[in-house]
Amino acid sequence: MNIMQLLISFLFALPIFATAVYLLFIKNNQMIVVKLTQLIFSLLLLTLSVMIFFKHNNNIIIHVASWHAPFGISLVFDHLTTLMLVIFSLVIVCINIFSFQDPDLQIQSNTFYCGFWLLILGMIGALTTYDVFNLYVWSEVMLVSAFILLSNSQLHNTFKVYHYAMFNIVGTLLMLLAIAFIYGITGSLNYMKIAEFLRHHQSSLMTPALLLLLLGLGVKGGLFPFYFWLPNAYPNTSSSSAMLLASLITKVIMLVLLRLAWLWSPLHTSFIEYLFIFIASCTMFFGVMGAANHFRIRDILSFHIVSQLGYIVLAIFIPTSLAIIAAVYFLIHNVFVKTNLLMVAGIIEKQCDSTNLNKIGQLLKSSPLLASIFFIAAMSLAGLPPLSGFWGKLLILKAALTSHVYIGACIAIIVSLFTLYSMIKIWRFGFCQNQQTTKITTPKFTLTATQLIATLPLLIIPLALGLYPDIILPTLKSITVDLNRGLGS
Amino acid sequence: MIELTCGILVSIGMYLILENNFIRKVFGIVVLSTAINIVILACGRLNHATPAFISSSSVNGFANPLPQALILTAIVIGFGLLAFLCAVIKALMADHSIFKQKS
Repeated sequence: MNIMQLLISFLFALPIFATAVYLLFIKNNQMIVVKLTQLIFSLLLLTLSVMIFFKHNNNIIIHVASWHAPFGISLVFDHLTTLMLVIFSLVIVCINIFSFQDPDLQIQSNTFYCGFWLLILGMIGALTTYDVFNLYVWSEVMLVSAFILLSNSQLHNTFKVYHYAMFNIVGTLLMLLAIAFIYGITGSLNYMKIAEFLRHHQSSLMTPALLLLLLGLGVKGGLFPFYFWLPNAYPNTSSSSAMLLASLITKVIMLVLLRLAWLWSPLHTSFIEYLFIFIASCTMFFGVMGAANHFRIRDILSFHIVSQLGYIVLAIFIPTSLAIIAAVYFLIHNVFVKTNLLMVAGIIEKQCDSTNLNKIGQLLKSSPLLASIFFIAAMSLAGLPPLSGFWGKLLILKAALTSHVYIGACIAIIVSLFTLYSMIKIWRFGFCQNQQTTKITTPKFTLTATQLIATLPLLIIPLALGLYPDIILPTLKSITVDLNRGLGS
Repeated sequence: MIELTCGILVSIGMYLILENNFIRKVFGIVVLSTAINIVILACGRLNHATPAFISSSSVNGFANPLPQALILTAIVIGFGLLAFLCAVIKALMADHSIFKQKS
């Protein structure tokens, strides 16, 4: 067993071990022990993923229990997986630090951390697996941990959890049905074997099966006709849970979609491409319209999650290498910036007991530091020039225009404008509103050290990505090489 | 014949899920997940009937063990999700306010 295999087995063992620790050994009232172990575990996760990122130089394929491809499950660590593992574990460390001061988690903290680590386990599994049925199992792991995270809140959100559960269970059942069909047609569950079958055989049954799989993934990923559960569930739970769900689940589904779309050639036929460019445009547009319609900061941000997913899907279904770079870059930018904005919303909620823009105001005077963090993150989300959002949107627009997807590009520009409008709305009402018109007056407050440590990395990294995008460009280029090959070596 | 059964069961399940009634939705999910298990079995390339043990005489002609493993996993996961859904609905029933709005 070489060093890579050891690292990878530790990567899987760590979340399982952490879940067991919080289930069995730690009582609710031991907050100091919880914080200490959480910090150690999440820093270990970050170290492991950084080590894997720097140690691997070509793609690593692990056959679980030495059963080779047609029989066993293979786990693949290529450039995309290792890069995203580093990005996600960075965000996880920040969310973890932020969760220490979340007032919603003081009572049931060990249940929250069980869900936290189960979600990370599901994320690692779904990113690395190369087996469709295994993908289903990992997405169930993520779903169950999402249930734990959503219901672990002091808000009365049972009905929202019910909505979430209903939509996602039906989504996974559709996915399972599609997997049964794909297995029946191709006789294999391995991504690469299926891709090989699809390259050599023409099967008219394959398109409906793939559409069903995409439907399942679309329901779970919050795409156009089925996105209603997302802005319904995410604002009505503790802010740490919302951050974790928003930054991991839908993004992982998008990455799976990216990988499948480049591996399975029928997903790049013109019919499915047109369908998904239409779905992406509608997701962008209706997401941002929902955001324009709401007046609570967390509602607005949740609708923006939907709208940004539309950009990623648009880039995934444009068949050029530039589009891959655009999709991955935009996804990375979005994970950081959106988590940062949700953190700002969480801090506002803690200080003012509300994120309703009609009630709060004057945050610019109460805390100039919080206002400046919000301003940079919000302008980055809207895509103003020197920041990371600008490059992400520019790349997507360029990819769309060079592939003659003019309608998608037009809608992306319009949606950008409305994103800016929403962000200005939050700025205008939340931060600059007069003393006379607000219902809640907030005294001056300073950010605590915990909040600063949690938010600043999420501010600095996207700034660095925006001002000097060359740092991740080599990795993005090797991702395109990997995906274009279908997967080599 | 089995294809027709699967189709009918899936449509019953979908119909029940689309009804505006908590209990029917739960039954719909039960029927749908059972129907999907039958689909896995029907699609599962079970062409042979010999048990999947490799004997010394021949390694050919044994039954494909994969569909059973898939169905077993799917049943376990489906049951877990169903248990959670029942718990959520029980919590909803305890919270009367929703039912007052409906009736």
